[in-house]
Amino acid sequence: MHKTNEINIVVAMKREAMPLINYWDLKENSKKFYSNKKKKINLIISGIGKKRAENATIYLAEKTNNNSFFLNIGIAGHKNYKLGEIILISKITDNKTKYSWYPSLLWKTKIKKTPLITVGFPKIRYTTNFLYDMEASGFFKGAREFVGPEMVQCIKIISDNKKSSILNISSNKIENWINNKITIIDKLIKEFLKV
Amino acid sequence: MIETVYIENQIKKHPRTKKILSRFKKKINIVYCDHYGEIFNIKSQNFRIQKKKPALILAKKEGKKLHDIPKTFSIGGKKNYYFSHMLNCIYDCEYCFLQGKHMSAHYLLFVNYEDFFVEIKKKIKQNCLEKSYFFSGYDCDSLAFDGITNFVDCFLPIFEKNKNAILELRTKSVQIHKILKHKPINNCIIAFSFTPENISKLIEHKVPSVKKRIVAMKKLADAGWKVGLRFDPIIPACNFAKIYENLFKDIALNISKESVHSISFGMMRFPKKMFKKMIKEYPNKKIISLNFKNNNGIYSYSKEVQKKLENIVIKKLKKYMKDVPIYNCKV
Repeated sequence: MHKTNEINIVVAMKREAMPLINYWDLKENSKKFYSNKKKKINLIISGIGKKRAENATIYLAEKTNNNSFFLNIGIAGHKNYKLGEIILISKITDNKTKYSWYPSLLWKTKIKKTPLITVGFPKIRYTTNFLYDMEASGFFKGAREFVGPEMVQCIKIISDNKKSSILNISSNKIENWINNKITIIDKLIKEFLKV
Repeated sequence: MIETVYIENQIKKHPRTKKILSRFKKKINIVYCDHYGEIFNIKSQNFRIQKKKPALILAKKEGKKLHDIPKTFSIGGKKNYYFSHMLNCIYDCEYCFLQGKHMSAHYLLFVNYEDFFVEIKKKIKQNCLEKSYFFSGYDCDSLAFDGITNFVDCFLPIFEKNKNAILELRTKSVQIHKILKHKPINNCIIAFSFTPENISKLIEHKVPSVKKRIVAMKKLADAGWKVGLRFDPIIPACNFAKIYENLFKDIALNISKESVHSISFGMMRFPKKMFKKMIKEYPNKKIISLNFKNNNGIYSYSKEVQKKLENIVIKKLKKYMKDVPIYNCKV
């Protein structure tokens, strides 16, 4: 059985990362790479887009322990979900390649679970009941090179919906949404690490 | 407790899919996929972690539904086939080959039972001059998940109408109430697997006790069903002869030999690749301490130990189950 030592978190934007960096007291090791050795949490800011997410995930995987757990945290859009709502992703599909990943859902949590599509450009029309983001497929592609489906998860917070488009997203709002859900994220991470 | 159900897109409107979903009392998380292999067959899955909370995958079985069984595994017939409507088991026996066979611990259930019926009927017709034997329970427990699969109610009628075919349902479960609702048919054998209670407690995790299984078997026998006794694998242990004798005696005290269709037994045996995978997945297994030898690519006990165990088992079985046919499942 794997013995999980560390959790590797990939976040696209600094605004998404700041509440997490502050909450877990992460120190900057190198540019855009933060960690708290005592808490065994590593975080990298990948930049926007799936290729950047993939590269950052691989970088983190190569820097850290073999049995690390991988988590992508970020914002995403959905047709109907409320702004600020937290979602655990049950399936990730790359819009371009149509390849899908299925993270194992082994966790004791009441958080809503929904599939997600990773797109190359911001989505303005929500044609399905899925979430839309721009990084998760790259993150999964990178992480699954190193670990199995039980060790890779994705948490998204709703930033836009059909009533409030991506144009209404602001840095402050992102920080607030993440801040409001940070205790739930922290609790969920503890569940992940029970594996 | 199932919390997640993956469903292949092609069977999401299948009536059996809908019925299966309706049997879950608590809210479940449903995820659709194009093919079950996207979840079940992917690399680097951790069987042991998944086994803690397996998901259910509903899929369509493509290709061949019936597979030949080696002649040495027969229970008296010449035409023997096994079929698997489901892969993986709710129990967790340390010796189970399933943990070395599949990449995943999720339960994979094929909902297109009707396609199995077509192949079974075709085979019966093909072998019309002799009896065909169909075995269920190789890749899953036939009855343990029946509350969800409704396997018994669907498959028994096929054999009620085709007396030239024998169905063996192999199980360690005590979920027999659906069988008891049917009129007994003499071409169906409910075959119970046993190891002695002290061994079972140690290595057959989540399996009903030997006592409960004997009670279930007695209910079936009393209702007129034919039962089968399966001691496979035979496991060497302290006081081997005594504990196996006690097990045979307990069964014989409760089940009349007229109700027993057949007895079969076999040594623990694994192909090399499967054996290595099992050790890797579960290095603390108690069975690893048994002295396995590589006999032409099959890991089992040494020939001498096998012979010794066989002699004891046959001698004790004959003492308590005289005249019941005994089959030794040899590779």
